[in-house]
Amino acid sequence: MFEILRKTLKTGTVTTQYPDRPETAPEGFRGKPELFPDKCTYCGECVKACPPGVIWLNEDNDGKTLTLSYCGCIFCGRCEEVCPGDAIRLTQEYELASKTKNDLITIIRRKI
Amino acid sequence: MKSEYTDSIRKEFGSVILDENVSHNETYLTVKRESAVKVCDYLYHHFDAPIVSIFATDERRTDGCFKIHYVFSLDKEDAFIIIKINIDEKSPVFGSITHKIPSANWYEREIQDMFGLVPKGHPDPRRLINFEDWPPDSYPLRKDFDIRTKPPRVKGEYVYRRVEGEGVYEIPVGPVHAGVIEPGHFRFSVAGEPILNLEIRHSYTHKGVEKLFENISIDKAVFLAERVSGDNSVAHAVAFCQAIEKIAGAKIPKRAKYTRTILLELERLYNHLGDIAGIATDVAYAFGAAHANRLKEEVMQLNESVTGSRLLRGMNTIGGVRRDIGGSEEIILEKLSSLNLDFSELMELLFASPSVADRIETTGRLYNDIAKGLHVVGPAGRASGIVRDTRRDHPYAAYGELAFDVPVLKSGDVNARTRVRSDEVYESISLIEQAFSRISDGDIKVNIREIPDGYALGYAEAPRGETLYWVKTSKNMIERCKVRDPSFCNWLAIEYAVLDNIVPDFPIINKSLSLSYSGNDM
Amino acid sequence: MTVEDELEIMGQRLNEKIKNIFGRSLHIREVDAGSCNACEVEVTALSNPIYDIERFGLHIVASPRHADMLLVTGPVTRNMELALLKTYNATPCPKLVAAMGSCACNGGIFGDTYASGGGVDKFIPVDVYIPGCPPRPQAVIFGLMVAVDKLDQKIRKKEA
Repeated sequence: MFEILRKTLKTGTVTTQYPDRPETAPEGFRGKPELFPDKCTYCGECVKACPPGVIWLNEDNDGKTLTLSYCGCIFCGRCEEVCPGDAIRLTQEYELASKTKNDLITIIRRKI
Repeated sequence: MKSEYTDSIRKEFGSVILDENVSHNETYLTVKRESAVKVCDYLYHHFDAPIVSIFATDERRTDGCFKIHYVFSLDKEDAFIIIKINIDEKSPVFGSITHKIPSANWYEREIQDMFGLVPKGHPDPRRLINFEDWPPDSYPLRKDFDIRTKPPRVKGEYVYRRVEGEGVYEIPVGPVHAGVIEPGHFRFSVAGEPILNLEIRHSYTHKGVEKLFENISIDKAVFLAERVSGDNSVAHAVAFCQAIEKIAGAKIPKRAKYTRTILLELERLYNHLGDIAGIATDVAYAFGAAHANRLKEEVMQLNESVTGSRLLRGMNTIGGVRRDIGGSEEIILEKLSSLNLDFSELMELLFASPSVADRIETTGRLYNDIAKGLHVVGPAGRASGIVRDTRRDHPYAAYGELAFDVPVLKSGDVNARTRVRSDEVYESISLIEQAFSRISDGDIKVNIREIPDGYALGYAEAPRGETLYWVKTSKNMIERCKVRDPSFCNWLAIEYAVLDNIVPDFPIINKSLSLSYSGNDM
Repeated sequence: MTVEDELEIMGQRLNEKIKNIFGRSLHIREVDAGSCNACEVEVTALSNPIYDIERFGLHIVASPRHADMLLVTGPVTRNMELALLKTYNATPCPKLVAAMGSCACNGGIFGDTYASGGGVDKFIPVDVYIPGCPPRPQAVIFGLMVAVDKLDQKIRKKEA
């Protein structure tokens, strides 16, 4: 009995204050992928490397469009690894929940 | 491998061996189809070699037939013998070995479902993977089956074993359970409280993983391997990567080997802590459960700060690892030393508690002969006196250079399984400490550009036990990938472990065996 | 007033009703529709002393009949489809559905195959998507809060 009390007191409170107090994910965490439109060359390397296939490259008369859905993203960071121009990076952002799927898409365009 | 085994087989069965082929520590012997039962029986009983996997391949395009592989492990030699038979499409039957080797049961039923090859003489030829609404003559792992097809649902019935008698009734449980666990169906036949019979029915989480392996590129397949059984991500990824590296003949850098070892042991730590927390929860020892859960969470947070993933995902790749964890040495070692003390205090209190002892001692006994017959692996097997550990018997990563004990107990009850895990926690801590003291500077991966056509076994000791991959590559793609999760071996054990126990003890027994549904169903 | 307007107003009323009914407490039934069990590890973590979601009035309950929300994981396998629909139908109205993890959101790495359904919203209506593979416990808490409108969602469609 005393041992249990001792252990309880020694441990103290461990409960997190989230979400009242924001908590950042540790450095190196693979969260929401961010695209940098000025760096992207629309080469399509990330499209080829994505395991669940949630990055698409479209070309039409107006220009090129890169669409990334982090809805089915597995946050593996392959896109970041293969990108020749550092145009995609996985950030520490993890609060991604959304009521619509459309919010879970990032689109960048380059007009001709 | 010592040739005495192959010599002895040749002497005994010389006339039935059609082909012989050795690669690495694997010896492939193709025998006549009708002799497979005899040869397997000989290997199993004469050499005491456990059968670790049975799987089929569809090689109709290249060799004009299906092939079945029976993989035997020679633990003392760190070698494998693979018996192969060819099966013509026109006569898709093979002799069942289940009546000689009980652990073959589910493998043969799996082959029947996925390839349409019929195990003749199988004592229980019901469906295993495909449900009753799956159309006949449609076999997912045949090469002419397109992964995108959605076969129509047909009418069918699955018949459960029945126990009849006065006062006997059935309790169906699942697939959606009361707790936060995976889906599966359990059907108890009980008279009063004691369980007379339990039949488990799985495959609710069948996601077509093996077929998916054949449809994605090899570098992406590592991430799929991580998702076969989520809490054993590292072991699956390592086993898969090792198979590919074996095929490519690549030697990975020492630093990568040690990093993999550290990751594998971190995975074992949080799994074992979680299992102990689960057992404490199920025996209503709330104090122990809260603390064990806290320790598990601490390790998972450590994982996240070191690798970016709480489940250690995304670390392994063909040829090594993706991130160097050298910078985290201090925080890992610091955390482990505090964990060591914290955990030992907790275990002392847990095992001293009469209410815990009362619930876990003699509960859910899995006797050694049954465990051996079913080829129960991992901590569950070691708690029933089975002295096997892939890390020691088939050393991989850096395990050959590190010292560790393999805790084995004989009583086979929940208590033994809890204690084996608790002992393994200390071994894991010591292994990580040793690994950090011996790790050397250098590259963390080698680049493997081309993967030649070939096949090989990859294996790792997951927290649940021996995990086995057999991969065959062709033109830089995967031709066939057989995944054998430890749970595929261990699930049947629960039908025996619960006998004569009362229904309220089922959750503890289930938890103590720590079985993955996803790894089993794939 | 067009039909769309009417529907919109009805939708808003229903939303407020749901908020009023649920108040600050929510009973959650977790349904594994074929996940790899990583999401289950994180759902289990929600009840540990660190995250302790009971402090928000969020309870994980044993039966869909007691639940206000289904927290669904996995891509919905062919073999779990019927069980998921039965669970959904057994949950009393009004009810919320949260798709947790990349498989539940969109099929994830398992995609849409003979065995995998490619996401929960192909089978039952989904109210909130919680991406992640698996989402860390804080991300799940955030998702549950978004579902009951306790927190405003932070993410908006980005176009550049």
